[in-house]
Amino acid sequence: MKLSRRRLLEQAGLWSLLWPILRSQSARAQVELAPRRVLIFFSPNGPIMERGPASGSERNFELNEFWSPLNRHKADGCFFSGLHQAGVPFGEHNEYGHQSAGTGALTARTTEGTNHATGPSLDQFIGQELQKAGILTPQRSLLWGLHNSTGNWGPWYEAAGKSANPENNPFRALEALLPSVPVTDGKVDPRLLRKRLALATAYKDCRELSKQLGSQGKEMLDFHCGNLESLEKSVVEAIARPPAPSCQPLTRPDTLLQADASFGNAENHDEAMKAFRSLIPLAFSCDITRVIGFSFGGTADRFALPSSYGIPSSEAVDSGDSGPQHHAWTHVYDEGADKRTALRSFTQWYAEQIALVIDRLKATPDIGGGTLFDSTLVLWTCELGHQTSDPIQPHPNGNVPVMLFGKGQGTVATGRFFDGDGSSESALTLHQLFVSLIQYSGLTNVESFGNSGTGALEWLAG
Amino acid sequence: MGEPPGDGESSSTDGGLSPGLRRLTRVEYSHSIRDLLDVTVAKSDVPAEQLSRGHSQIASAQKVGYADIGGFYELGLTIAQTAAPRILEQTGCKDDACLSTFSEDFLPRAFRASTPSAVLDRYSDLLAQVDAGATLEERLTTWLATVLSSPYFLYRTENGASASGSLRELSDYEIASRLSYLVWQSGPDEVLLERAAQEQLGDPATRESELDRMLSDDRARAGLRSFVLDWMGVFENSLPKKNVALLDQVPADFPRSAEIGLHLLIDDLLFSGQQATFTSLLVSDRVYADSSLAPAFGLVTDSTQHVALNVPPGERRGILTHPFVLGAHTKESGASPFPIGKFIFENLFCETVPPPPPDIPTVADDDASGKTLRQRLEAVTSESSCSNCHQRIGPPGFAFLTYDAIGRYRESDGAGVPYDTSGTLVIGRDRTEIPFSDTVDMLTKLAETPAVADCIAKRFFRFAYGRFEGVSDGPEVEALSALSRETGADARALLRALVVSPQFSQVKIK
Repeated sequence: MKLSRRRLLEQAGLWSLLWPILRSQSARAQVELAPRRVLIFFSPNGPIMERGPASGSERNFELNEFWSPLNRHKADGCFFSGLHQAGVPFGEHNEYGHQSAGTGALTARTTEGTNHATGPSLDQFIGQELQKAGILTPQRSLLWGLHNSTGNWGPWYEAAGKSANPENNPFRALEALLPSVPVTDGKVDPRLLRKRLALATAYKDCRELSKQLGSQGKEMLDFHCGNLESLEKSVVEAIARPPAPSCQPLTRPDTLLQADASFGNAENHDEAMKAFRSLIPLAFSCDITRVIGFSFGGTADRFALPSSYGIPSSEAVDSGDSGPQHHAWTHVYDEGADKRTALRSFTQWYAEQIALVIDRLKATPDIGGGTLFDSTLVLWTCELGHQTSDPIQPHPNGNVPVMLFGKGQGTVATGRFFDGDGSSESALTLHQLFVSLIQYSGLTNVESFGNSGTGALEWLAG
Repeated sequence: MGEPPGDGESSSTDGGLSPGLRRLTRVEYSHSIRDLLDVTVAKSDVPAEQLSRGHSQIASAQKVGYADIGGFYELGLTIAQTAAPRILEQTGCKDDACLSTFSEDFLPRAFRASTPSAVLDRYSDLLAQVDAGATLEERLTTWLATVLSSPYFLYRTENGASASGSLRELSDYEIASRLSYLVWQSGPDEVLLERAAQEQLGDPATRESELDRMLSDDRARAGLRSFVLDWMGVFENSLPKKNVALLDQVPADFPRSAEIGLHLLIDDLLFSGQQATFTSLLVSDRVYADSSLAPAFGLVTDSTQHVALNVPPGERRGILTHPFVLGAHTKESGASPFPIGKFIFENLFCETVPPPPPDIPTVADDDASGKTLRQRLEAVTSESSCSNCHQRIGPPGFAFLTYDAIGRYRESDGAGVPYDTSGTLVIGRDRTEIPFSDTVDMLTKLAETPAVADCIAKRFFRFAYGRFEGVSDGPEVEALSALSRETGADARALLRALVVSPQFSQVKIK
């Protein structure tokens, strides 16, 4: 763990004297360019009854009614129909089902015969690699959502076989951010100094213990030690960095709910989203992180909307589910009006939430006179796509709707529609899109992600 | 379907080998904090362990990630903020020198080992390294949060005293931890640590006398309860997640009351009599319920405290039909025959059930057909690609159709057709057939089936050692199975057999 300058100064007792000067120098050295950010949304289950978000030609297209709330951002988006799920490329494995979709949707990997993902999800990969590349932020990445556990089928993973669980309480999410919100009075929050001390000590313990173990125990504990080191780096960055000029501190999430509310309860989903909409601009404008994952639900999530939405109840028989929830409707094997109403409502709700987040990004000032949206790429992908018929197959990994919003500091030509052919080969396009996001974040040398080395999606540039 | 391979998911070819360290589960963390610092921690606040084929204890499946480390630190800080003022009051400490003395006493208990001087020095120096403006209480808080973030606290080592070779003798401190976490799901107390310091725990007779002492301690209830909940596949209270329309029909405290009721029942059956068998949990007609829970059993009481009651004959039996257990295996609003059938095979027979094939056939949502749910499901799973598994997991699953998603009994479906809960269990490689007439008959036969006793023995072995059994474990597992069959899976007998076994003080390291 190399923190030499800081530690040397601390040991010499000089840190408290020199810190304001160092921080001032760091501020002057800052380049007046907004950081590049990536925001990744995942929604569970899928639209099932519609093939994709748009139809028409590349530059003359209409949005499908399922995604109509995003019409107001149509000129700022790239809309993809007919893509195949990234984790099940080229027909190698299960063509259908929640498991392969969930474990692969954001990892772009197959399960390789296991019951879980075999690599990190896109958000975690970007956060991890940015840190390795020396692009440091107080939080490597953030993962929030409307649920707080994922289990084996993801879609969020820190590493092979290691799920990442979203934080679904916006009050706890804010509490975790606050010590990292840079202040302007030249004082470091002592909570950060103490956290760094604790992590550095735990790291020494970790390395010491690791040396005593056999190969398997050492591998397990080295993963732990590496993450201790990574978190300490994040804390050190929070201590050392100057205030971001665009940083807008926040004292509580914007919601009528209280901190002890049940945030997993469907009745609270609208208010929970409102709260997280206030946190996303905070995290980006204060440069606490460059990458945020947001999960509307885990794989096969029993996602439901508040009862005021009047979603019809399903009578699915084989899954054991029934009622007005998204997963149950994926197990209804017909094309009835109620099914369409329900699936349209879920998809429109997800679309509306993303549209509202984009509204906030467009309204939040950023470094250099623009807004957060100018430097943020917003990806929305989901678990399942469009059901095929004869026989009706409601768990398709093909024809998955995907959307990308933002011009990415001029790197993306928006207002366009990509119509894939729905084949398993179209997974390649999704792989390439992921690589484009990775490269945009600053990892320009990365040419592959997941199962195949594909390069970036050149189509994005227009 | 078949037997599971020898070891954890990520190392299925490494039967019998251990990584040499075990991350504290949420239950173990919570109990350790309670006993160390007298602070209550909700299990749900602790970063979750990774389940491996329905077991929370498999050491090799655990990976502590970036978010987990942040979670452990923040939780440790919260605990420390509660504990530090009390420690200062109890010790009367006014300066760091006094806290250093406290540190020397506390660290061996927190780290469950004789702490090397280098570690003691590191933690003694830590107090002085806290930022200059910190008060004594803040310095102690930081110190405690650090202790609770250390791998020495978060893991218990089972690495052996020798430095090399795969088969090793555990150190006495490691034996103390293995014993205390098996029986109490918590760290060793001062008596056990003293036994370890005197190197007495390599002796099976000493371990047995310690086991007797520990079983007479109330903490043992939590230990066996934890095993039972793992066995039942219950890792959280799932009842609050059920459909709102269902929950509206029961009191708001129903989920919590169901949890308390199940805990009391397990404690009663495993601790109140001379015989305390795990199989008795499958067939007891006793329940514990208060006025919120009793109606779910078709019973009435006006007591606001849980009291022992007997369930109506013929409707249900044992913990598998308890709302708290059923809630873990039903979906939000409906019955879940196949997941429950799969659970029965995996957790009661220790057989593996493969995932469904890729080309899941379609099911006509055809309520107008006049067929029952069971008939429709049996029709759709009768095709050859499904039938091999579904003919086996179907019958035990259909036996639970008489309970709704929150565990209430119902005799017939929405159309007024009585549920058919009869069937035949087909178990083992020799496909032994066990016919049953209804749910209660099936549960009665489950409790008498040798394969269930064998499975309990295997799961107890895995619970104790934190790994799946390997080929070289054959003799010990067979002895445990024989004992389990003979005693109806007597909890104390199984514990005793494990603790006095020579393997209890050994480990094979990968």
